[in-house]
Amino acid sequence: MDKKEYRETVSMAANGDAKAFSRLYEMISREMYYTAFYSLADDADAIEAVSGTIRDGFKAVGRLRSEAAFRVFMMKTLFARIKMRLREYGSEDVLDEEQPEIKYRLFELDGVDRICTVMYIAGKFTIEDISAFSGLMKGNVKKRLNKSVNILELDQIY
Amino acid sequence: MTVGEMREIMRRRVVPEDLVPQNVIGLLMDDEENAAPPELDAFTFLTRLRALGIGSADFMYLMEGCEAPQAVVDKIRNNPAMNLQGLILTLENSELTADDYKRILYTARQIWERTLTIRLEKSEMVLQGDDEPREDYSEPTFEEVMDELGQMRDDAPEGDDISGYEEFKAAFVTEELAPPIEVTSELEPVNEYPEEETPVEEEPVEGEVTEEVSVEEEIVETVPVEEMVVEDIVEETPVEEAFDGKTTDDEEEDQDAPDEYLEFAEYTDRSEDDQPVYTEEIEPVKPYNGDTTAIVQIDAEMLRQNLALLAEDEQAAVRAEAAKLAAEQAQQEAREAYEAARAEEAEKKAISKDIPEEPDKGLPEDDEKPDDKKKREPFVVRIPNEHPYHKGAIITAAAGAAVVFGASFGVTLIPEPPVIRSITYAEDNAAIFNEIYYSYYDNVVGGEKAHEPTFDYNKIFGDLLVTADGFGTFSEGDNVYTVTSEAVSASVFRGGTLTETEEIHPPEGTRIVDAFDENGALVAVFSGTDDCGFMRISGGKTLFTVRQDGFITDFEYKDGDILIGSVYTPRFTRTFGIQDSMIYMPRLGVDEKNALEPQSVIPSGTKGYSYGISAAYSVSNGAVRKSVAVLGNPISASTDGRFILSGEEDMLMTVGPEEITAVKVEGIQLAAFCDNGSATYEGGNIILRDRNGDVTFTIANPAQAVTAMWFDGDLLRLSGANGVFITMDCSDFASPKVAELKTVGGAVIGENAVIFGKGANSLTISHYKLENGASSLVNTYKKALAPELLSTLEFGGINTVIADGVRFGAGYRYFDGVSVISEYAVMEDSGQVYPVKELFDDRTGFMLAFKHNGNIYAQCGGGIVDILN
Repeated sequence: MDKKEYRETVSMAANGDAKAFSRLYEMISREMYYTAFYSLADDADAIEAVSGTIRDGFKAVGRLRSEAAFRVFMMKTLFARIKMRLREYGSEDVLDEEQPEIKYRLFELDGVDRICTVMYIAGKFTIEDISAFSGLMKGNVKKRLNKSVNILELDQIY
Repeated sequence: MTVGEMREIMRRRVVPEDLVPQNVIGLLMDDEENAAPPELDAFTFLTRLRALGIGSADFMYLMEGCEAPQAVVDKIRNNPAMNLQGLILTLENSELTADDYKRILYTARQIWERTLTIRLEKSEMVLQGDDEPREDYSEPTFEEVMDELGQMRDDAPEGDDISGYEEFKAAFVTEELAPPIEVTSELEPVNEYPEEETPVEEEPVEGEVTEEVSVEEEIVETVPVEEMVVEDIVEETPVEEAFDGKTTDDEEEDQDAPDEYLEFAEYTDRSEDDQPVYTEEIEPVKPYNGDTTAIVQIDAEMLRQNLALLAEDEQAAVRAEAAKLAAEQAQQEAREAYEAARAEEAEKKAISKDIPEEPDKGLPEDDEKPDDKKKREPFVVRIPNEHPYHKGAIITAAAGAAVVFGASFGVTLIPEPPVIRSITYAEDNAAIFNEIYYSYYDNVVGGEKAHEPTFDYNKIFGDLLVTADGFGTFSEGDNVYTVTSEAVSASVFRGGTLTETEEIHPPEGTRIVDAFDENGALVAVFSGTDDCGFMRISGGKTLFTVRQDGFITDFEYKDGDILIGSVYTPRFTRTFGIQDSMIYMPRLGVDEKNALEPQSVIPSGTKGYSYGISAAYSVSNGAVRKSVAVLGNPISASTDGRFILSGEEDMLMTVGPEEITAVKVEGIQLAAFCDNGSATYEGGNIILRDRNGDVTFTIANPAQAVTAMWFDGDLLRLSGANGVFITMDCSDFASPKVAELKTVGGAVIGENAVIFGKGANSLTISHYKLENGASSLVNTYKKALAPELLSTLEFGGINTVIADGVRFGAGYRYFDGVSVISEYAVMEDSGQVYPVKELFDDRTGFMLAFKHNGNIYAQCGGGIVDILN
């Protein structure tokens, strides 16, 4: 989506055009879902987190003048929602039985480490992106990713 | 599994129907239909007015101007002492509706914007040299603004009040409402710290510094997500939980991604690098009258036994003298053997021109013949096993002296009196190289028992254990530094704005373990597996970095020098010969490391190719004052040239400045130094030995298995699986006592400590000074606070603490049931209390405080606050 198209779409979305907003959301819909799904124990929670973020995005879209700003807003909001949900889990941050095998491995990681790792691997976001989404310093994101690599026994992550 | 494979698997997941872009349209449409703007209540109304800088007089004008019921206006006017609660009740009981609040707010907003504009216009006129009277360069009066507004209204088309509110409301969520206004930096700050203002950005434009004031960013509370984050979490997080302890995943997370309870995210369309992250860690404050450390049982029986052993030692003094003579004799023999070996090798070296091979391609099998080994030996210098140097020098050169003595004379080794011999430094690189060669050949690395102290932010201050959340904030002229274990964040304070200029990291693989002010500059000490040292930072930059091989086992700042003891194990990654001293010798230096001269290295005789290094550096320029290293199997290195090593037969070698003392020990696991002597963890007991190697005390069976131990002055700190579990006062080495430390929250700044605490109905901020090693109370700031508010009280953290020997202060916050109130209190040592600065619902509260030109400034979500004025 080029700048002009983006501005037009944003303008329509800001005026309540849900269809226009859905086109914006489409740009990051998969990344958002993967992040929520692999970070949260419950699939319903993941859907709720993404849905809530979509609602927030629809209300705020008029303020977001670039595609990058839209992406940061959405992912930042999603990050905050996931963290909130993780906090609610407390010590019950465990998976039920019907989950993909890969998710069990990811749940060996601490909450924020897991979100960062999922964003990096499944979301294909860069360390700079994750830093912007999470509010963590880049070095801290790197450190968390390295830690996750060791726990997950992956090849070097970057 | 590779990252790519994992990514592929993860991305196979199908997005649920509900979240497919085409299907979210329905979701959004439903929301739109059900959406209704939240109604303004009296409290929110007053908070927003306050954020717009509306004072009490202006408030009355607004109320009257917007046709508020006269009864309400009169009631407020006739009760000048009416507090916030009274005001809220009055408004709520009046006929004022949410729409009235909106209308008044809309007017207030216009007043605020006009105030800004008029000030800017006047400022520009002054800058352009207009003949404007100087006295007019001031804030416009309320009447002046109202007059202008009235004129504007007259000019504006007619419309109902609510439509005006809609425009106002749009300003909250639309960035393009007001374009950024450029003002020159010569102006005084336009916005005198309204609580909800976003700090202005500063961009230099061809020598002229300008500021962009983003008016539209001021009210972020109306962003829906933010409301969700703040309000929901406030509801969800019991205040007691927020106060009682951390609930975040780990310490690192706390530093960067704190408790959501106070996480305020501002969503703007600025570039990602510019995105401010309004986060702050809220470190739970521990009660002042807090815990004392645990008491370990001292086994009296064990103590008696040790005293008996000591008595036996005294009786064996004659034997010890004989042992010393024998050791010296053995050393002399070893020396001769070593000389012979060197002469022979020199001959061989002159003949051999072989190229060195990879040393770590595999060790020869045990059943290989010596000749086979020779063929595969990678080093330039070759000394076969049967060489007299190996048999003589290795065994007898140091620790072996005691073993030889014991074997020859049949003396029982337990208890063995200390064996003392004089120090012998290596003559040349060959002596070091040969030692390393044989240890490497035998796959004996050494250094495995060495441990770093447990470095954290906590500090002992007299009888107080002060827990902190960082190393604090330091200021030097315009430069402000905030130090954590990860980095030094350097900022510059100019034009009323604090701008981060650089993040200074310690060398890779290390972390900062201490930081302090030294003559105006910041000194940050760091330590990692292979590297330790310190950085001197001034003017926002690193002036120099002193680096020393290994990790810190002992550290001291004394008389203008920094003294470091470290243990280092070289990592051989390529073939090297005797000429490659940078690979196998211990290294240290300023900015780049240089190999120590062999004459500064003591081959201890213990097997291993690890080093204990002890060096002193000038803190002002990093010059190396003195340095010494010991080769073998070090466990700990002191700051003053003493080392503890583990010999082949559990010999504890204490290398002093002039002699080596060897003592037979049982399974030494840990060791640490202090001025009085050393402590070792052997067979589950802590053994204290004086500088002569004589046992002075035994702490038998500590309550937990000890994983690390170190001295903080004369205090021996023992750390187990759950951190420090006991602190012993070893000022009397023959009779150590359990040190009862009070755990308190606060900050230690040089010789000052600021302690934050809670009483039954008040909060306290106390200033202590260190006098003769004891903490001495100077003064206490006290503020009465109801118990329900106290339960939500949180200390602002070490970065908010100021203590300069004249004044002390700190930030804190509490939740009054409606709003988060952030305050900063300052008191002079003399007792004078400055007016408390307070913020309401600030995004971050007070994050850090610093001194500048005699003033104290604090940074908060709304920018910089002048604390004293």
